[in-house]
Amino acid sequence: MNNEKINRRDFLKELGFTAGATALFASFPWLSGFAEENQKAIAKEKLRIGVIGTGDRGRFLLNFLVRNPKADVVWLCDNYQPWLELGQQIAPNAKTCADYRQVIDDPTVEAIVIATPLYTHHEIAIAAMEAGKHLFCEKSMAKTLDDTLDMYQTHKRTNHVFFVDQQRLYDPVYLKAIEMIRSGMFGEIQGINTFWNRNGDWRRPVPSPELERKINWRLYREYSCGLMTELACHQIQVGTWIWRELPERIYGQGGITFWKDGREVEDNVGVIYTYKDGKRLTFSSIISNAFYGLEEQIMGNLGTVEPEVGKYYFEKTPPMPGLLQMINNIEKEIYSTVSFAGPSWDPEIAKQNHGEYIIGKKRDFLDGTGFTVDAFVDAAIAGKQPPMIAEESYYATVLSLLGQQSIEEKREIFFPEEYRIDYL
Amino acid sequence: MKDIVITKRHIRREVVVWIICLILITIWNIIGIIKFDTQWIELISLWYVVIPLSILLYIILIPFRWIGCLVIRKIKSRPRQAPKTQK
Repeated sequence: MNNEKINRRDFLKELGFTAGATALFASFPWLSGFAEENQKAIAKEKLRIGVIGTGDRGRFLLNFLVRNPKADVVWLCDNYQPWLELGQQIAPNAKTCADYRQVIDDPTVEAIVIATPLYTHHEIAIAAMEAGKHLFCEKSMAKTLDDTLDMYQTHKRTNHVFFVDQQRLYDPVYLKAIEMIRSGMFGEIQGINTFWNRNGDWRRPVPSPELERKINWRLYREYSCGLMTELACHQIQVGTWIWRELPERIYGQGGITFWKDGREVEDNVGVIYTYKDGKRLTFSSIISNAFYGLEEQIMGNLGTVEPEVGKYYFEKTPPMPGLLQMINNIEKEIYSTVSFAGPSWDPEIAKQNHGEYIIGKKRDFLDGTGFTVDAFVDAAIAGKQPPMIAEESYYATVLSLLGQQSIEEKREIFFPEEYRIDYL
Repeated sequence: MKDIVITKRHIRREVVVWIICLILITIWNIIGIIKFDTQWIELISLWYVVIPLSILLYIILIPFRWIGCLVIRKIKSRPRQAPKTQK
């Protein structure tokens, strides 16, 4: 049986759509590559891909590529030999090299996947796009606003397929949640609280000290913007997706509060993105406490959505049946203790509401990365850039970088007009 | 060993007692619906609470009924005093 068809069907099934899925493609036009007729047109094609960067993330992507019968990984490139060898274990037939130019200069390569450190994205991406390759780039797009804009403009000029791994755009739970939000189920969305907490130093083991900055590049300002470009860019994108507008003002704060181990990027950040009329999206991340993990709490006046848990909750739940309320009251009278000096107010702690699953069941897949990779392969073979993908990714990176700029400059930033593109 | 004979009359009486319990719990359900202004459908939809509660009430009543029976039997079995005769 054809794996690619299973993936596509699973994807549509998770969303509760059957064959055709016209309504789905109308709401989310970038998914139209999954349409039956588009699949038939490219069924026997194969895309020759070079993967640049075979670290953890590169190998994660590689696993999806080697399972895709329409993808042929012909090059693996990394300038760190141990990672290159690990990549070879996944794609043993691919040629290997340490210089990315070798991959880009190969005229038989049709598409490039970039999973290198953030500071290298721009250089490799521009070289790939100028060489006429389709491009899949890990998020965030680039380390500076100018580089990000340059990448987007180069994509528009060269007119090849360009994906950034903003996998929520291909995550069935998020797609279903957005559809519910747009239908008005949760009223007007007034605020989005996003957080991504971990308890770990974010370090990778280093075999010898001279490799510290190469392997732990995320911790150094020269190569990385820390939590904002590595984590926030996923969650901030949800705001743009839901509200279809950009924030007017950005204010962030952060510091190195726990992991004082020589790192240069913050381990504790909080940023407020204020939209028109005062609506807010907040992002916070602490990497010394993992209790609340990650979530995007999308709050409307009628309900709340938590896509990571995969659930939604209505503000007003149906009252408990009268008989059960009477039984509860009797229980309370029997078991409650008499308070001599109790509080004069009820603390407004979170409601005990178990909610409903967005796709009717607990998610049984990791996230949308696999679907994103498959969609890229399909789009590159068809030579058609799906709408909104590059634009959503562009603004996700720009907003992350503006958050980081605000943290560094300790001031509120108004969205700079020069970085506005023809979208939203 | 003495055989216990459960007569039709006994069964009918126990069923009647349980039905009375069921009616009492249903009345309690109605009071709950009125008091908390909930939906009348609960009269049917709450069967999974009403039926177990009625059985619970029936079980709770068993020792009381048993004590009641003992008391009644005692009163009935007390020998009547012979009328005093005048000397």
